Amino acid sequence: MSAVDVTGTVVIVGAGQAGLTAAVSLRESGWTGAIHLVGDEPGAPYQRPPLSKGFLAGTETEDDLVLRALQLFERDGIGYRSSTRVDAIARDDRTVRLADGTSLGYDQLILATGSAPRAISIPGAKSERVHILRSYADALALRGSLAGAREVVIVGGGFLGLEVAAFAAKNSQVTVLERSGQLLSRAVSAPIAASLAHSHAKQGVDIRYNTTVVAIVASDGRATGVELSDGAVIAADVVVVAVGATPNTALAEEAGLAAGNGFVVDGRLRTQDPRIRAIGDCAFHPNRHAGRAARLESVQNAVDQARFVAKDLIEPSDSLYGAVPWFWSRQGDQNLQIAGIAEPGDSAILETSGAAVTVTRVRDGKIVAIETLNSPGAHIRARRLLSSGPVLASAVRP
Amino acid sequence: MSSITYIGVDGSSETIEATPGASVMRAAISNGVRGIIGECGGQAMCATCHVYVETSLDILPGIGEDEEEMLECTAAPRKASSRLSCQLRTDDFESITVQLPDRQV
Repeated sequence: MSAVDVTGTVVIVGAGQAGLTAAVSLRESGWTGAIHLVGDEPGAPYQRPPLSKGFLAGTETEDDLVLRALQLFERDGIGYRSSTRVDAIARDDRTVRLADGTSLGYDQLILATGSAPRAISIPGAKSERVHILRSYADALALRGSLAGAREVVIVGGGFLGLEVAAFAAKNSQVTVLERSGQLLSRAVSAPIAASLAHSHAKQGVDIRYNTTVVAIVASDGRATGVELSDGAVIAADVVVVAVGATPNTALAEEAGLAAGNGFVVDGRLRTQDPRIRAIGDCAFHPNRHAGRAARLESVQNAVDQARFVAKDLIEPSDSLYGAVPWFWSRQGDQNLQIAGIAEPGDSAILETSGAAVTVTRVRDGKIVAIETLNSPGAHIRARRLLSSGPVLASAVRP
Repeated sequence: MSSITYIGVDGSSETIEATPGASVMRAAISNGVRGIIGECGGQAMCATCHVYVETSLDILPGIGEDEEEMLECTAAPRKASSRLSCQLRTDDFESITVQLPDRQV
C-alpha cells in the first residue's frame, strides 16, 4: 500500500448519522486535513429514529435529537455547513458545486446523501394533512396534525407506518392499509409479523391487508379520507404515507457515477471513482451477510459504514466492509430487533417464552438472521453469533 | 443543572453541566465526549453506552429488566458499578462521576 496522505481535503455530502459519523471518526482517528460536512437541513445534525417514536409522543425533545452540538465542530476543526445543498460533482477538477454558487475542492469525497420517502402519485396526494415522515420538520408537522385527530389512516404497513400507528392509536382511531398479505412483508418472518399485528390490534389499530389506495379524498384542499380500489372510502383527518424510501442519487447522473438502487460501490465502499465513496442509506454495496449487493436503511449501516470508510482512508487495506446488519423498531410496548438479513423465502423457526419471541431464519442450512421481540439479550447474542456472516445451523447448540 | 464527570481510560476527566432531564449518555454524545457511543439513541438496546459509576449507586434508580439483559452483553467486563448511561438521568442526581470502559463494541 502506498503511503497515506491524511492532510488532504475530505468533503462529505450529507450530514445525517452517516455523514456526521464519518467526519467525527476521521478527525478522531488522525485525519489532519480539512473536513467539510455539508447538510441540506437547518441546525445541528440530529438522529432520525426518535422522530417516529419518542419525539411524536413528546417524551423526547428537540434537544434529545441532537447528535452533536454546533460548537463542537469549531473545536474539532470540522467545517459544517447546514441548509446547504450540493448541486453537482465535477470529477475532472475534483470539486463539488454548492447551491449558493460556491465550490469546494476535494481529495476524497464521501456521499452520505441518505434516502427520501417514496411519493405516491394518486389524486389528492398533495392535500393538506397528508403527511410523510423523514425530517425533523416533517415530524413537527405530523405531531401537530395528530394532536386532536379523530381518524388517522396510515398507508403502508412497514416499520415507519407501524411506529406512527402505535403512537397515534393512543388518541385516535387508526387504520393501517397494507398492500400485501402481511405486515413488514419484506423485512420479517410471518410469526413476528403476526405477533406485531396482534399487539397493534389490541391497541385498537385496524389493519387491512391486500388493499390498494387509489386516491386521497379531499374537501377544500384538506384530506378527509382515503379511497380504496374496491371503491370503499375510509374517513381520515390525517393521512400518513409511509411506503418506503428511495436513495438520493441525483448527483450520480451528471457526475457519471453508476447508480440504481443507490450509488454502486465495491467492498471498500468506493464508487468506480476511487476518490468517491458512498455510505449509509444511499450506498448499494456488496453485503456478505445478505449474500448479495444490498442497500440498507438503518443507524447501524450508517455508522458502521462511516467508521469503515474513515479507517480505510487513514489506513488503507484490503479488508472489506462486513459489519453484521442490525435493526430495531419499537411499536408501542413491542421491541423488535433483527440481526442479519433474511429473504422472504427463508425458513422461520419460532421459539416463544412469555412476551419474548425469537425467530431464527435459515437458508441452505445456515442461520442468516435472528429476529427477536422483547428479548434484547438474545439480540446481542445473535449479533455476536452472526458477526462473521451466516453460520451453520447444525453447529449451534439448540 | 447537574454536573457529570466522565473519566477516560487514560485518566483524563471532563465535566459537563447537563440540561435537566438529559441522560448521561445523551450529554456525552451532544458534547462530544469520546468513549460513549449510544447507537440506539437511548433505548437500552445496544449496550454501547456502558459506564462504571464511581459515585454512590444508592442515589440511582434500580436496574431495569432490559438494562439488566444488556449489561450481560457489554463489550468491556461488567462490574458491580456497571450501568447503561442512557438509563441514568440528571433528574436523579446533582453530580455524578462515571468511568468509561476501554471499549463499547
